[in-house]
Amino acid sequence: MRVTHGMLVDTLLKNLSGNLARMERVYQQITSARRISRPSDDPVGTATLLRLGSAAQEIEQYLANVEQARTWLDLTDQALTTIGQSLQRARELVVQAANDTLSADDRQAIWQELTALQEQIATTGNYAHAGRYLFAGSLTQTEPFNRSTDPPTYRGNSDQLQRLIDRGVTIDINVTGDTAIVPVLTAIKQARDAVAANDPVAIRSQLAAIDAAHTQLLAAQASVGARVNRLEAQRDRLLDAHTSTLRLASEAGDTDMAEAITRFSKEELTYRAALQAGARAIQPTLLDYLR
Amino acid sequence: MVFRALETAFRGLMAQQRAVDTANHNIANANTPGFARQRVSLVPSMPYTVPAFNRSGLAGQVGTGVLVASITRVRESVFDLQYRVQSQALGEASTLVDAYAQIEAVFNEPTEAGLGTLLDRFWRAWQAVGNQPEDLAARAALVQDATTLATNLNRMRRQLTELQTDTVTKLTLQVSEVNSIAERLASLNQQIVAALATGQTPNDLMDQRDLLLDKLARFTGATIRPLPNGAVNIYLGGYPLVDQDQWFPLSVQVSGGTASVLWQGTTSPVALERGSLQALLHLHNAVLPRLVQKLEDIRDALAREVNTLHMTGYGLSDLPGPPPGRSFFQVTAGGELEVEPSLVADPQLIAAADAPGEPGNNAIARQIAELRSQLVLNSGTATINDFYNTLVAEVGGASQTAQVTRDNQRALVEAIDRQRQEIMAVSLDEEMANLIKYQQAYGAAARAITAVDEMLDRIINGMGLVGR
Repeated sequence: MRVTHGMLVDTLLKNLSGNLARMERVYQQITSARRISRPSDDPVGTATLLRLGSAAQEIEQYLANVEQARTWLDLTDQALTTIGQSLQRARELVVQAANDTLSADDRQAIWQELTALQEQIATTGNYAHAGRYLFAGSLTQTEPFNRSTDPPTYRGNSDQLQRLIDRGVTIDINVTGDTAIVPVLTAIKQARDAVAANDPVAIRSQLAAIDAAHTQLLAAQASVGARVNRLEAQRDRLLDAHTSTLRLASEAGDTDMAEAITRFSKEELTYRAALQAGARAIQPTLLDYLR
Repeated sequence: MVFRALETAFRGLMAQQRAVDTANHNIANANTPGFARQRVSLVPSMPYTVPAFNRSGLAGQVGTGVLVASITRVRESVFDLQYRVQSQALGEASTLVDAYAQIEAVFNEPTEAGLGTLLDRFWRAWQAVGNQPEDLAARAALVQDATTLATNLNRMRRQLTELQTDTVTKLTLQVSEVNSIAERLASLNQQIVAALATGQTPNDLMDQRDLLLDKLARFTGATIRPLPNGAVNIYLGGYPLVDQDQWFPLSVQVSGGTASVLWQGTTSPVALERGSLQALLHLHNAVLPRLVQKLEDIRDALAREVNTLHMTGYGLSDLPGPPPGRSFFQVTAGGELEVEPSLVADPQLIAAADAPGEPGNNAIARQIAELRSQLVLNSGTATINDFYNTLVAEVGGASQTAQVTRDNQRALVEAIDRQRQEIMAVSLDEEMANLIKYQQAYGAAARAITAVDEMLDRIINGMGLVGR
């Protein structure tokens, strides 16, 4: 084989640029911490990475939806508990008012307290979260209970507010005022009328209506609790999915630092050796020894 | 007889001098691209038969010295041929690699700024509106995210179209270079044929021609046919690009979005077969239009699907009655995607609800958010995100294939070139050794002339003077 100086220089330059190119690639992987910087580095890996990244985004959004739904349901639950307590107090008052020994004045006092309770329940029914009424159905910008009438009339609708908590899965986050609160208000109004009429028999007969309203209220609260449980289960599932998606994305796209740094050291060593050997190989010619 | 010895020594002097000249020429051109080292081939000149009546015991033929038979290039044309064939494929692959690097930069994946992330953000923004349909801030954020998505989709489409225009510019430049090479080849053919006809070997002109042929190979799949008179003809698809001292220029034509290379002054396309010109045509006529089409598919699917749902919905301020039928996206006459300007001006008009007057109603927003997982592209087999991811993988795959082909082809071309260099490259050591060899022979020949000179001096000035 005939080798000339020109060929030596060419080989040296070619190998040096090859070394540098490989070094640059590893360097980029180390400094960016990403294994793939262009789709052609790993086309299938890129598609996987994009898909996983997109899945992570999707899950994060569902998690945000779950958190918001959870807040709404928690506030609903608190409001319903408050209403339940008021109803409980109202029932005690009605039982007290049904007592035959009570005077008309006593009943007048009870009537006043019942009126205050009714007012309080309507106020609670008008609770809003971030400017949105909890119990108005989808008419979230309309105060659901008109307190200028007696009993307060419901101005919302019976639509459910739905939130996406997974692909194709929705959850209702609200309890509409007409199912949970209107019966309560109606029952109290009727009891108040009976108390005002000072008629113990009529007062006693209102207890059944109050109990029925309470049952409906409890049913609504139970459904809220069930939905909160469902949301918690969903959140756990989403968190698991998020973790595993991120782990897979990291495996697909992140640089294996230990390996990359080892490779970098190797390339660096090769480069230095090539420079040293090259510098010596291309130097001497016969000319150096002719006189 | 003594005068003949003078002539013999003189021939030696001349021949060694030519050899030294050639070694110098080689050294001078040690780094000249395409230069093949030259060798002087020395032969003994015709011997002289000493006349005699009978072939007695006298020595017969007497040597008359040395002649320079020829100065030849040390070059193996088989390797040249292989080098050029593989260069054609290398030229093609390199062009594709460069173009795909630019295309990959347009896609800018995998990054947080790529279209994939922007699509995700768009779908998320719809869910955010779904969570708070009454909230103007969520609606304004949706308009922002949708605008960012549209702007970037438009940017990518525009950049790919610009790349297509750039390929025409490159094509035009390269075709003019091919034309210039063809012109120079025709002129070199003429000079070489003329020189050969007078019995000379135009080594350096032939080197120049070989270098031009090497260069030409990168551009096209030309076939080279040497002629007995020393000229080479070059054919593209059977038609001559160079025919002895004639050459036929090429031109570029773009009509109806299709670029072609034609024989100048005709409408016949040139059969390029290989090389960078072929790669540029492929990029311009097939690869880039296809990518643009795919982006337009995404654009159209987005506009179509989102609008179809959005038109059935109601904005916050819409009155009872049939839905106002507002689009969310519009595609301009120039093919740009943009968010309906009325929605940008008033995000209340975004139709999140499927019934009027229900600010908490998010039915349409949810349905649009769920478009992310609907199979709306590729005749109902892919989601918009899937379609885009596949497109990116496709670009990456094509780019990777081009890189592998380029690397393999480059290794092959380099290996062949190395074989070629082993034969034709100038070795300085070798030339130095030769220089010394010929220098010494030159010195010896000069000394021989001195010897003959002394002999003549003896005869002319010293003879017949006995006893003077």
